[in-house]
Parts: sequence; structure tokens; C-alpha cells
Amino acid sequence: MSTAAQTDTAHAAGTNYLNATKGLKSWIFTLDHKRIGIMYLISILLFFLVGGLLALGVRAHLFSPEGATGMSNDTYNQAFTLHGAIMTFLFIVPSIPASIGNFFLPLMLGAKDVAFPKLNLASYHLYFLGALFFIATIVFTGLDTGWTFYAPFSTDRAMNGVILATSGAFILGFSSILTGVNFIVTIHKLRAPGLTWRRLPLFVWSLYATSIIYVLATPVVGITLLLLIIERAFGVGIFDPALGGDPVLFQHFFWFYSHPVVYVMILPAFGVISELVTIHSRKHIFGYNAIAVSSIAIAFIGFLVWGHHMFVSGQSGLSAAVFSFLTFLVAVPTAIKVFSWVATMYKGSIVYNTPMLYTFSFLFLFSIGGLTGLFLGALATDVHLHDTYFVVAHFHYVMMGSVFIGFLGAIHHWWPKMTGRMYNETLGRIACGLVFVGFNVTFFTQFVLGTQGMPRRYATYHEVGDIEPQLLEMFTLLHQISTIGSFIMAAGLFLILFYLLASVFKGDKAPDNPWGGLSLEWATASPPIEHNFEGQPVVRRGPYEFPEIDPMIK
Amino acid sequence: MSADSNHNQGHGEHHVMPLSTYFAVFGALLVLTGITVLVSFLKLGLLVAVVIASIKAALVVGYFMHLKYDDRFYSVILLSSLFAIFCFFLFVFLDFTSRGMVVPEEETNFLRNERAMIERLEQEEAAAAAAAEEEEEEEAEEDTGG
Amino acid sequence: MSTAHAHGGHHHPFHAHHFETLPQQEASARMGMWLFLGQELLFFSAVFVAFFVFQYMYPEGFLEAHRTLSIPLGTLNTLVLLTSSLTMALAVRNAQLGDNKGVVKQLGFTIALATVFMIVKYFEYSGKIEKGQLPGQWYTYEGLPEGASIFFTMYFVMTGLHGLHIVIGIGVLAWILIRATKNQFSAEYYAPVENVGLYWHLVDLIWIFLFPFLYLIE
Repeated sequence: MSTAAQTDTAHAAGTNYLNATKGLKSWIFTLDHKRIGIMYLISILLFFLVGGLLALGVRAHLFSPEGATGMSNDTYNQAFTLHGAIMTFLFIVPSIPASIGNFFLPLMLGAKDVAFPKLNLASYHLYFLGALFFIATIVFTGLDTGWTFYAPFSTDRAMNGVILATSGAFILGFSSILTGVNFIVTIHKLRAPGLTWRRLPLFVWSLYATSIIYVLATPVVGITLLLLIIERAFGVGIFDPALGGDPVLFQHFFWFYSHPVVYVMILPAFGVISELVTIHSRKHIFGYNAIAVSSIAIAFIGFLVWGHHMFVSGQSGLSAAVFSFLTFLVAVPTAIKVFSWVATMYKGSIVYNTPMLYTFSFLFLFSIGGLTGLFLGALATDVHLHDTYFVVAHFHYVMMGSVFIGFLGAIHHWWPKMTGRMYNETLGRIACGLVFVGFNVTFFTQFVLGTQGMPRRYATYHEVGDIEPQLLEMFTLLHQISTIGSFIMAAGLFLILFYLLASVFKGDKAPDNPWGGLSLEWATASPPIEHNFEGQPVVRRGPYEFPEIDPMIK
Repeated sequence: MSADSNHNQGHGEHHVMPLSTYFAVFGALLVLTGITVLVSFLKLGLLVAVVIASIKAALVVGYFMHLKYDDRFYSVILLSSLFAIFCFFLFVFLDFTSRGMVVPEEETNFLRNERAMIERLEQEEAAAAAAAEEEEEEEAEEDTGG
Repeated sequence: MSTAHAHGGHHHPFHAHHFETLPQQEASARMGMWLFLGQELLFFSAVFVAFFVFQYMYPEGFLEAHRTLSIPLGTLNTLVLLTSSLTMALAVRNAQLGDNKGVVKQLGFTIALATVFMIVKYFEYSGKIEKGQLPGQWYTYEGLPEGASIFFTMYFVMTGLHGLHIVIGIGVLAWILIRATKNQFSAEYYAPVENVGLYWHLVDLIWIFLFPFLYLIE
């Protein structure tokens, strides 16, 4: 590292990546992976706020059977569509990998940057461009297809926002692909000396599996959306049966991407939990190899099971049965992970701090989310539960209860490293409790709603079929509980926003290694210097070989 | 720096293939193109064309793209994408070729629901039409009554 | 670390600071390109899947419609692209040997052949537009069974996407050609030539499959 030595000596004392250069331009055109990660983090959370407010609007509307907010049905359709589309394409797909992953991957590898810093910046710029398309959709036209853009509704009768929004999603796809390519090459080529594959932090393994899916699945949704745009713009028949196309083909195309991408969302959260559970239990991870390999296994199994989203779409009975059977394969690697995390905590010296509380929340919520997935993966029960609130509850338990909780855990765990400041621990625990309670109140009720037959996506429910007054009363009560829960959760989230922002200005200075972690990101300053490390770090042991169950943190 | 750079020395030495290899591969590609065109007139179908195209592709990938002499990991990338493509074809065609095999197509939920919906819409329309007629009659009665 | 010291004070102008050695940087670039190619394969696989699904749905329409395509023009274009693949491979070989002049010459041939390909495509397209063998609602050609319009939809989508890749390819080939005229490549630094080459071979590969599926199979 002769170059490293030269540039590192140029660092004045006290400079870090945040204050090394100044001005807006030094951020927008930066090649520093840490700054790109921070820009992603801010943008992603901004869109989470937009999507979240839309969700609160939806929940508020459902407070009474006839609709409590006075939204028209069309407005309601747009609200839940944009909630889904923004949360999926702008928030959850890039969430952990693009923000936390971008920031910490090179740090964990002991590298100075990702392999292709310019591509990394391009990926952020593409994200920004794609986001502009979505903003244009909201401002100028509107979108009412649901986030899945199902044909022929989307090619034919839906609002004009389809072309804008799908173009946006198409561009966001490129952003994902570039991130995926970048991460895989970085992990292969830029590991520090001594950092063998079996010494990689598990978060890196999960990013590796995620990147495989980014690279192999995203192009298919690109072409799908492109075909949809062509069809809608030029009246060409590909998916519309009236023009000789096939709508089920659209669903095949769409879910070939969108199912693997479910694992893009959850795998990084798995990685985060693997880190958190071992560091905050001060114990060597149980089943390192099993966790690492199961991540890769999930990535590949993800390509075999997309048809379970299409059980009632009109696909053949045989393929529905085959997909249903294959779906249960996913349970194996997933269960291996959950088992390993629980086993890691056994006889550990668990610290009940904010990141660990998020880990507990994750384990609890993910178990519920995963187990309710079995009902939906089983062909027979799915036919009954399809398109009810049971599905809504299930995927919110997995997407929000697991991915987002994992994301919050990651933010709290690595916040001291990213900003160099400590947040208020008491407020952190209170907020975590609020989010956990609010989340369960919001979504557990929806499992009940779903099994009782409440269909999803309805703006009002006072005339669902020939609804009996007794059932209507129950629906109303459950919807009201759910809405109240969503506001409790929102309160918790705003509290988090408040104390995290406050910590940037008034927080205590964070030590370099507040949790006693052994992976390389803790070996540099908080916040890290511009080129990550003074000189080239060398790795001599695994990331979780804690010398003892550590009494240091109490 | 990385463990990979050890088994990646092929690049450092940048294996230069002799010109004759390039021309031999090119010749083979031309011959195979000729065969595939000629065979198409014999109407031997998909399989022969796919096999010939795959051989051509293998030649281009192996020699022109140097995969034969490069890092094994590039082959892994190629095989992974072929695996994904294989799954893609397999399951899409499993669906399209087995429609109606297990459950007769008109008995599927999808079509049953659709039929039920069409029926309901028709009933609603009929009811609406009847109501409109009644109203008209009432109006007519009112007119005469008034 | 010892390899880094072997460089001494000398640094290649295109050696980025976050790579320890130039070969490491070159190998990374190539790995990135292969991953990108994997992505491209999946991208095209979707249109192939759609093509075969529609062929399965409308066997007669597809058979009759594909007979209207010109096999001689298709074969000509296949030969043109195969030859361009050869010249591209030779350009990479010249780059490996550090012969920038040879790179320029072979890239010149490649670009010329790519242009020929697009010209032939232009004649094929204009013939179809004249006859009204067009996608969807623009389809006005008569005398073909049901499904023929979908065939032409797929024909234009597949060859159009492929053609788009050729046009982009001409652009990057020109960029590499300009860099070669500035003598920027050497035996130790030629990854850009090689990566553009990999991309160009992929375009060729796609055509190797497109040609029999669209023009030949009965």
C-alpha cells in the first residue's frame, strides 16, 4: 500500500470523511462510498416518510366502514398504489444494501473504496433520476394499478402515470444492477490480506447473496416494464388478451423478478441480525458456515418459487402444485438462520441496548411473518386467503416487521460509526418499544381481518358482498384497532427521527468501538477518515472470535 | 491483496492465443452457419438449430471471449445466469403446456370467478334496466294522473 | 504488499488509487464486465421466453409469418456479425501485444461491419413497414393466420433491442478507437479494449440465437 501511506500522511488530525471537503458539489459528485451511502440513507428515509404518510392516510380512511377521511375511491386507489410502489422501488429494494451496505462493505473488507467508485456514484444518480420519475407521477398524473402494474389493466384502462412510473422503476433497476455488480467485484477483489472467505463478516455474505439477485433478477423486470411501456405507448399486443397477448405471461415475468427481490429485501436484514446478535451477546456466532451458505442458497432457491404469487391467476394446476411444493424449500435455509441466531444467544452475555432490542423484535416478528407464509405457500389455503388482509399482514410482518426493523437495528448499531455521535439510549429503547407495540397492534389484527374475509385494497367495507351487521361490526373494530396501532408506530418512528437528528448536533462523541466489535469497520476512527484506514489493515482472526464473554460492556 | 489474485495469474501473463486459433474458430463458425441454414431447408426442427447455435456460442465464449483461459469464476457467473434462464424457461413452459391437465380449464377458480362476476354484472344490469323501466312507467302514470 | 513495492515510485496513469496493483484493477474490471454480461443474458432471455410462449400459442401464425422473412438477408447479417466478432477478437489480441495501431485497424473493420449490419437491417425494416407487417394495431398486412401480428411484434422487439445494442456498441467501439489512436493501451493496461470486446461478442452471441429462431426454424 505505498499509495495509501502517501495519501494517509496527508490527513490532518481530526479530519474525517464528513469534513474533508466542503460544499454541496463535494457531496453530489463524490466518489467516496461513505458519502454515497449517506446520500442513499437520506434519500431512502425521505421516501420512507412519503410512503409512510400515504400509509397513514390509508389507515385513517379505513377507520370507519364508509371511509373516514372523505377521500374518493380513486384517491384511495392512488394512495395505496403509491404507498406500495414507493415503499418497494424507492425504499425497501435499495434500503440496507445501498445505504448501510455501501457505507460498510469496503470498511468491513479493509478496502479504500468499492471496486468501481464511478459506477457507484452513477448508481446513486440513477436512483435519483428514477425517484424524479416517481415524483412526476405523483405531481402530474397519478397511478392506480397497485405496485404490481398487472396487465391488462395497466396497459389499457389505468391512469396515465403507468408509463412514468414504470420508466422510473426501469431506471431504478439499472441502479440496482450497478450496485450488485460493484459489490460482487468488491468482495472478490478488495479483501484485506488475511480476510479469507470464511473470515468475512456475515453481513458481507448476505450482501453477496443480495448482489447475485440484483444482477440475475433485475434485468427481467427491466424488460417486462419495457414491454409494458411499448405496449401501452404503441398499442402493441403482448400482455393484453384483446390484442392477442397473454396477461399471465406478464405475471410470470413480473414475479420472476419480484419474488427473488423479496430476498433482496430480507437477506441484508438477515446479515444485519447476524452481526447484531453475536456482538451484543458477546458470543461467537453459532453456525457461521450454515448462515453464510444458507444466504447463497436462498438467493438461488428464490428463482424456483415465483409462481406462488400466481395461484389464482389462471396458471395451470400442475405448475401451481409444483410451485407450492418448491416454496417449502425456502423454509429450510431460513429456519437454519433463525435457529443459529437463537443458539448464538444461548448462554451469551446479552446486553439489552437498543440494537439488541431491535434484534429481539426482528426474531419475534420474522418468526410470525415466516410462519404465516406457510399458509400462503400451501396451495389449498392460499386460494382461500388470497387477496385478503391476511396477505397484507403477512408481507408487512416480513417486509416491515423484519426488513425495516433490521434496518433500524443497523442504523442504531452503526450510527456511532457513521456520525461519530451517540444517540440517547433511553429514548432509543422507548422508541423501539413504541414501534414494536404499534407494529403488532397494526398488523396482527389484519391476520384476523383476513381470515374473516376482509379483502385487501377496498376503500370502503360497508358493502363487502352481503356483509352481515355482526361481521361489519367486527371489521370496523379491527380496522380501528389497526389504525390506532399505525399511529402509535408513527409516534415511535418520529421519536427516532428526533433523537437521531438531535444526536448529530448534541450527541456525545462516540468512541471508535462502542460495542467491542471485532470486524474491520470498528478498527478505524468514528467517523472514518476519508480513505477508511491509516495504512492497510491485516486480518488475523475471524470476525466473531471474542476473547471471552466480555464484562467490558455492562 | 486479495486471496483471489493468487489464482488469477492468467491475467498477469495475459495468455495470447496464436492467430491460427482465431481463424480456425472463425472458419468453424462459418461452416456451422452454413450447416444451420442448409439444415433449415430439411425442416429438422428446433433441436438441431439449438444444438448448432449452442456449439457456435460455446466457440465464441470459449475462444473469442477467452473464457477457456480465464478465471474460473467467470464460468461460474455464466453458469449461474444460464441456471436462472433455465428456471425461467422451465417454469413458464410448465405452466403453458400443462393448462387444463390437472384441473379442466373451465373448472379453475380463475375462470369460475370470472363467470360468477360476469353473471353478477349481467344481473345487476338487468335489475338496473328493470328499475329504469319501472321508473319510466311511474313517471308516465304520474303524468297521466297529474 | 511486496508487489506494491515492486512498482517503486512508478504509477501507471490509469491505475486507480484504491487498487493495490494494476493487474488487480484489470481483473476487477473484467469480472465486473462478466457480471454485466450475465445481466444482459437474463435481459434477453425474457424476450426469448415471450417469443416461444407466443409461438406455442399461435404455431400457424408464427410459421407463416416467419416464412416472410428473408433468409439470404439474415444469413448475410450473420456472416457480417461473425466477421466483426473475429476482427474484435483480433483487436483485443493486438491490445494484449501493445500494438495500438493494430487495435485501431481492427476496430475500424469492426465498426464498418457493424454499420453494414445496421444498413441491412434498415432495408429489412423498411420492407416490412411498406408491407404493413408491423406490430399490434399498426399491422395491416393481409393473408396470414392469427398470431402473425404478434410474430412481428416479437420480431421488432427482439431485433430492435439487439439493434439498439449494436448502436451502443458502435459508440463504445468508437470511444476505444479514439483512445487507441492516443496510444493509451499497453500489454499491462488493456481492460477497456477487452471489456468492449466482451460486450461485442455478447451482441454476436445473441444474434447467433436470434437468427435460427426468427428466420430458420420451421
